[in-house]
Amino acid sequence: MGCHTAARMKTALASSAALLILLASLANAQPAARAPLPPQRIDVPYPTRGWPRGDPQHADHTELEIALGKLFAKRSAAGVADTRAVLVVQGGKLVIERYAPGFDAGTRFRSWSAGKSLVNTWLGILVRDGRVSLDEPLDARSWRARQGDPRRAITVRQALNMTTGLANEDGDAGSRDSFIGDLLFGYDSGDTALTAADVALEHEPGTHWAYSTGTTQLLARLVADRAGEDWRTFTARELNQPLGLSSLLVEADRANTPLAGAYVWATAADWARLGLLYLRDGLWEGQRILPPGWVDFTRTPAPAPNNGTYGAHFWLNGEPGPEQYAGFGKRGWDSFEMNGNGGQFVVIVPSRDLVVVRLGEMHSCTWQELRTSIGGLIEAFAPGGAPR
Amino acid sequence: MKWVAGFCVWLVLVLGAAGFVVAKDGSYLGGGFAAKEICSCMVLGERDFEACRADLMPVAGLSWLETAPLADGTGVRSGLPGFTPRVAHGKPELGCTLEP
Repeated sequence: MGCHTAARMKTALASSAALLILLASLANAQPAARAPLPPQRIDVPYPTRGWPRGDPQHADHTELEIALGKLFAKRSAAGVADTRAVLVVQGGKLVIERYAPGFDAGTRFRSWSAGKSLVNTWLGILVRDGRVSLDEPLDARSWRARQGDPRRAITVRQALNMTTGLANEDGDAGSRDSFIGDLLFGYDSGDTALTAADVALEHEPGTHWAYSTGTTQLLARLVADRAGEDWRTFTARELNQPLGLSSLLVEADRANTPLAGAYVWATAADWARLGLLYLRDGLWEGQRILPPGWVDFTRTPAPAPNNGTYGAHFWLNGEPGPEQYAGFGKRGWDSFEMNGNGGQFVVIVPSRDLVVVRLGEMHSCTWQELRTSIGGLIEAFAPGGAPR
Repeated sequence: MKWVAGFCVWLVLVLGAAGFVVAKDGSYLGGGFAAKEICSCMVLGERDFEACRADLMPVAGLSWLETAPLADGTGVRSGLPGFTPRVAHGKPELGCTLEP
């Protein structure tokens, strides 16, 4: 066989491989229902130094007021409104900004699990810079010395999708025996990444979805290890500075692993900035913060049979798996969201060019009531209703 | 009848020991939860102690905890009466960290 023939075979093999990869990626592609991510209008500046403001456009103002009234109506036993802040960004402009008495634009609000999505942001930046690969092993510290440890097969992608197969599911936060309780407050709370790693493998990685703050802590440790500097300095330079996030603060455990699984704090406006980053496909003032395709990966359901509404550390609107958060149900719009205990919501709605932020507590309101009110707020805006 | 009395004493001791362990663990976990939550709320949410305590997510046994801000204003302690309280220390630029 001559060199020429060998070269041709190589080319043919490469072409076949490329075709297979393309077919595989098409097979993984999502239904057409997913709306494209709308770009920032050229005459609307990014809110790096302050929010461009406007009035809600192409919206039913009566419906808006009804939804806002419902959101702020419920109060705790101490008389404080459950909903403390609601912001709506339409077409890149801040069109609604309301706070309950005692709270304002300078108040930092706590994330609970909405902070998990920040780990997605960090990893997007590290993937963009080639410092992390989605398909590399997660390889927690305590697994490395063990040859043949099946946990070493778990990838970063599977951790982002919450399909590690590890026995570190949150459980009921209010229960004495919950994993999350011990992880954050118990005897093993000093090094959350070590605690999260020191568990058995219950399922083959990639085959079973389970919600786990411990998994987020494993990823947070990876971010801290790969940042190449103190993770706070990394965050300040790579995220806070370009987006103009002046309030973002992430707490840490005693091992200096960021507690992104539950303890991220920011003003409502900064939460809205993070949402806008995803609505704009990871672009900010012409600068690519997240790599191409990252946001689409983020809003693609994790490939596990018991998952329907979880992407890559973001929740999706769709058909939930068994015992899974139902999102906004089968409404006529697409959305993906950061979401946390107490009803923290940063909802990104590409088809309406909206970001909706709701922050607060849930002393007297329920998830169902919140979803109904926030859903009403979103539906008060016409699809594609951002001024063009 | 002596064996009945002996059994009762044994039972009381066993139940007492079990209760102590449960209470100690509950104090550690619950106290850690309350101290950390309230400390973070005060330091980063910039709200006062009572407002933060009133906002705690309802968890069983929370009302039995003795919770108070540290005298030097650097954090919060919380635990069941008679047990060593958990302490969370805070700094405005870092947030709060639970002591072991």
